[in-house]
Amino acid sequence: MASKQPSMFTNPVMRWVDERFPVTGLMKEHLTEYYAPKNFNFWYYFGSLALLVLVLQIVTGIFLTMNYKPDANYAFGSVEYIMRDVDYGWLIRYMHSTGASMFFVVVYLHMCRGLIYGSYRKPRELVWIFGCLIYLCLMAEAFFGYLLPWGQMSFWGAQVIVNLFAAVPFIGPDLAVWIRGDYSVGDATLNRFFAFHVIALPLVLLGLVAAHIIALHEVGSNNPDGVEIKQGPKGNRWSKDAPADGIPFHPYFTVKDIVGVVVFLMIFSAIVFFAPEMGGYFLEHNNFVPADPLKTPDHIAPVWYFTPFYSILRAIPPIFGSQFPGVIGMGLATLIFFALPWLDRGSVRSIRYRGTKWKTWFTIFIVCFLVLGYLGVKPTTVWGQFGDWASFLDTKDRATWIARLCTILYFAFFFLMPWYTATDKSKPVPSRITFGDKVAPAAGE
Amino acid sequence: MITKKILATALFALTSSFAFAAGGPEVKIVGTEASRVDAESLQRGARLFVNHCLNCHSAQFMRYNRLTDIKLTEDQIKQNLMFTTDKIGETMKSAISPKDAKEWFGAVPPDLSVMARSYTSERLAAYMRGFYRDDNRETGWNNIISPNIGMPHVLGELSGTQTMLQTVFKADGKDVKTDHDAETRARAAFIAAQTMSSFEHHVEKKDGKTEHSYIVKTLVPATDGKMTPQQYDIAIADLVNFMEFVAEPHKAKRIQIGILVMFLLTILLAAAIWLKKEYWKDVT
Amino acid sequence: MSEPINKSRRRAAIATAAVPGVVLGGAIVAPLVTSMTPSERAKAAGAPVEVDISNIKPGEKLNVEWRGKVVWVMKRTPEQIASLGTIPASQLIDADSKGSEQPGYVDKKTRSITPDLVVMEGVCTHLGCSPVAKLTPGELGNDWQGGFYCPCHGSKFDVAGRVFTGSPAPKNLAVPPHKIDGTRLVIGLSQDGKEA
Repeated sequence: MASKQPSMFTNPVMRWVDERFPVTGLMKEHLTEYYAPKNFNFWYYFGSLALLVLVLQIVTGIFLTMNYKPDANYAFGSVEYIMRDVDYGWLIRYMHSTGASMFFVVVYLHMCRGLIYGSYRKPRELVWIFGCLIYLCLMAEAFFGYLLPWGQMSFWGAQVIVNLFAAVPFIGPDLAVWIRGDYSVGDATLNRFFAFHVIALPLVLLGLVAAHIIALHEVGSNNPDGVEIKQGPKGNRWSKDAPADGIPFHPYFTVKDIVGVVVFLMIFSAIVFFAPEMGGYFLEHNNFVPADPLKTPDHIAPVWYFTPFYSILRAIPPIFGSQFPGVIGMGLATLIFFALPWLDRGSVRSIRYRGTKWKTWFTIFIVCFLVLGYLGVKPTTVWGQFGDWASFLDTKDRATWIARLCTILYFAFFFLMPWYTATDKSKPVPSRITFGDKVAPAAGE
Repeated sequence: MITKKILATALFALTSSFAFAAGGPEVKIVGTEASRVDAESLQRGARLFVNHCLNCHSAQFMRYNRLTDIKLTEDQIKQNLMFTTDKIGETMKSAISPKDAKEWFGAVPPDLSVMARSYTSERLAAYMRGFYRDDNRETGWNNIISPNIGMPHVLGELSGTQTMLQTVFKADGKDVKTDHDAETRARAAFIAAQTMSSFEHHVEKKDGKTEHSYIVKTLVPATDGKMTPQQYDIAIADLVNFMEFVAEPHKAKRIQIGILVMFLLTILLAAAIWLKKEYWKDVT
Repeated sequence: MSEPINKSRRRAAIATAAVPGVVLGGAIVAPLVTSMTPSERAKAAGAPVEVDISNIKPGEKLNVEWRGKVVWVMKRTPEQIASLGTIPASQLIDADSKGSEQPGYVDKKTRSITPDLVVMEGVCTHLGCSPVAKLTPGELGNDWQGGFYCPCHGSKFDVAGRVFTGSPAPKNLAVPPHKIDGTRLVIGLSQDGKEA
C-alpha cells in the first residue's frame, strides 16, 4: 500500500480528509501513477465496460427491488406492474434485462482478450483466477435472477438446472430438494433465489472485483505484445522510475475509456429503446407466460449466455441411465479455465508471436464455443437426421454429433495445451512494445 | 421411497427438456393485411377487444385510463369501452368469473395483457383467421394454428366460416413409391395452396416398421360473414395492433426517448473522441 | 518528443464533453427518481371518492377513506353553525385559516362550501393521530361547545376543525379538495372538477 504521500489537494477539506484517509495515495496508486502500457487496443475496453455494467446492474437492481415482490403469487404481476404502473419502470427493467446479457457479452470478450494475449500467464495467475471466480459468480447471479420474473422459462429453466444436482449419485435427490426447499420449484425457491440474487452474490461479486483490480494493479497490465513493460527501460516524462512504455492510467486511459463507454452506451441504448427483447434472446417470448408447474413449454433453452455449456450437457450421452456424466462435463467446461495458467507452456504470451499450432487450436476452440452456443438455443434436430446408412450411430441427429465433436475439441484445446504449446514454433518477441509504426528489435537479437 | 419418487420426477424433467420439441406443424399464412399502427386503428382494435375478448378473457395489468394514450378521452372510454367497472383507473377484468369460465371451457381463458409478446403478433393474427368448423370439437370450432384449442371462434359472425380440407400423402408402392416421393408431393401441395394451410409429418411405428405420412391441411371458405374477407383481415390487424399496445403500452414513448438518447450520445461521442485525441497528442 | 501540452484546448475539450455528459447523467438519474413517485396503481387507489350525502342527517358524521386517510363528512346542526360565531378569535390559533390547508373556494370561518356540510381530514395536524368527536356541549369543561379532541396529546378543535390555543397542534384540520354536485359529494376533485 502507498506510504504517506504529500496531498495532491489544495482544498482544505480534502487536505483534512487526506491526513486521515489515503485519498491521494489511492488515487495515485490506481489512477494517476498507475502506468499502463500505451499500446492497448480495442480488446482493452472491456474491463472498464464490465465495471460500468456492474454499476448499472446494481443501481437498476436496487430500484427494481423497490417494486418487485418475491412471492410466487405476485412475482409475475409485480414485474408487469413495474413495466406499466411504475413511472419509467419499463426503462429500469429493460436496462436491467439488457444489462444482464450485455454483461456476458462484455465478459466473454474480456476473457477472450485474456486468451489472445496470454494475460493469464505468470505473474498474472491470480488476476486470472479472481476473474474466473467473477465469471462463475456472474453465472450464478444470472441464473438466480432469471427465476425472478416467474415466467414459464424462468420456472422451467430453474427446474432443469436444479434437477442437474439431482443427478449427483447418492445425495443428488436430497440435494435438489434442499436447494429448492420444496419438492419442485416453488415459493420457497423463489424467495431464496431472490435473497441470493439481490444480496449474497452481489456482495461476493463486489469483493471479487476489488480483488481482481488490486491483483492487477500489483502486477501491472499485460498488453497486446505480451511484453513486460516493467522489465523494459525506465523513465518517462511523468516519472524517472516508471516503465518507459507506460503512461498514467489517468488521464490517458480514462479519456480513452470514455470513448469506449459512449460507444457501448450507444449499442446498449439501441437495444433498450428499440429492441429490448432482442428477437427473443434477451427476453424470451415464453417468459411472458406466467409460470405453470403443470405445463412444460415445447422447447426449453437457457438464455444464450449459458448455451455453450448446455450443449455440452446435452451432447454427453447418459451412462447407465444417469445424466451425471453430462453434468460433470458441463461443470468441467466452466472450471477448466482456472487451470489455464498452468496448462499453457508456450514461450510467448501474445497471439502475435505464437506459432501455428496454438493459433489453429485457438481458432478451433472459438469455433467450437460458438457452434455449441448456437446448438444450445436450438432443438437438437436442428440439422436434421442421418440417412439409414448411419444406423451404427446410436442417434441419428447430425446436430447431436456435431455437438459431440465440438465438445471433444473444446476439451482437447485445454487438455492438449501442455503439448502443443511446448512444441509450438513461436516468433521472436520484440524487446519493447510496438506502438504506432515503431517496431522495437527482437529481444536477445 | 420418497427419494426414489423424486429422482424419477427429476430425471423425467431433465430428459423431457432434451426431447426434441415438435413445435407444432409448419404453417403457411396467406393474405395478412397489416394495417398502419395509428390512433384510429388502435381505437377500432380497442372496440373489438372490449366487445369480444373481454367477455371471457381479462387483461388484468392494463388500466382503462391508459387508453388515453391512443387519443381517447376519459369520457369516451367510460361510455364506450368500460363494461366491467366504473372506475377509470381500474384494470380490464373479464365479464365472467374465472370459476364460471373454467366450468364452461375446461380452463380459465388466459390473461391477454402480454399475449402479443408471448404468442407473438404474427401468430396472433394468423390464429384469429385460422378458425374452421369441426364437428368433432365440443365448441364446433377448431384452429389450424393452435389445433384443438378450447376457444370458439367468437368473431365467426363477422368473418363467416371456413372448413378444412385434409390430404394425406403416403407411400403406397404404386403411384407414390417412396416416403421421399410422398414428402415431395405433400410439399408441392402445401406450396401450391392459396389459403392458409399447414404441413404435418407423422411417424408411426407399426410391426417394427416406421411409417411416414405427410398431411396437408388447407382452409376453404364456407359461408359469408358480416364482413368481406378484406374487411375482416383489417379488423384482425386492428385487433392485433391494439393487443400489441396492451402488451407494451409504453412502446411509443420508449422509441421516442430512444431517438433523443441516441442523438445525445452521438454528440457526446464526438466530444469524447476530440477529448481523447487532445490528450493523446503527447503520447508518442 | 514532446510538443508542449495545449492546456486551454484540453480544457475546452473537457467542457465540450462535460455538457452532454451531464445531460445524459441527468437522463439516467431522472427516471430513477421519478420511479419513486406514486405509481398508476397508487394513483388509481387514490382516485376521487364519491359520497352520497342525501341521507346524512344534521349532527351526523360519516367517515370516508381517501388516499389512506380518514375524511369526515359532517352535516352540522344550526346550533353548531351558530357556535362557530361565538368563539372569540383570541381562543383560536388560526381563526381565519390563513396558515391552514384548505381550498380557496371554502369559507375561511365555517371551512365549508355550504354552511352545514363540512369535509375535513380526521388527521391531527400535530403528529397524525385521529381526533375523536366530542360533540356534546360541556363534554370537555363548561365552555366547551362541541368539537374534536385528539387523544394523543390533547389538541382541541371546534366543529370547523379550527384548533384552540394551548393545543400542541399548530394548524387547523386540513380540508381536502372536494366538490358538491347536488346530493353527490366528490372528495379529491376541486370545485372546478380538476383532480387533486
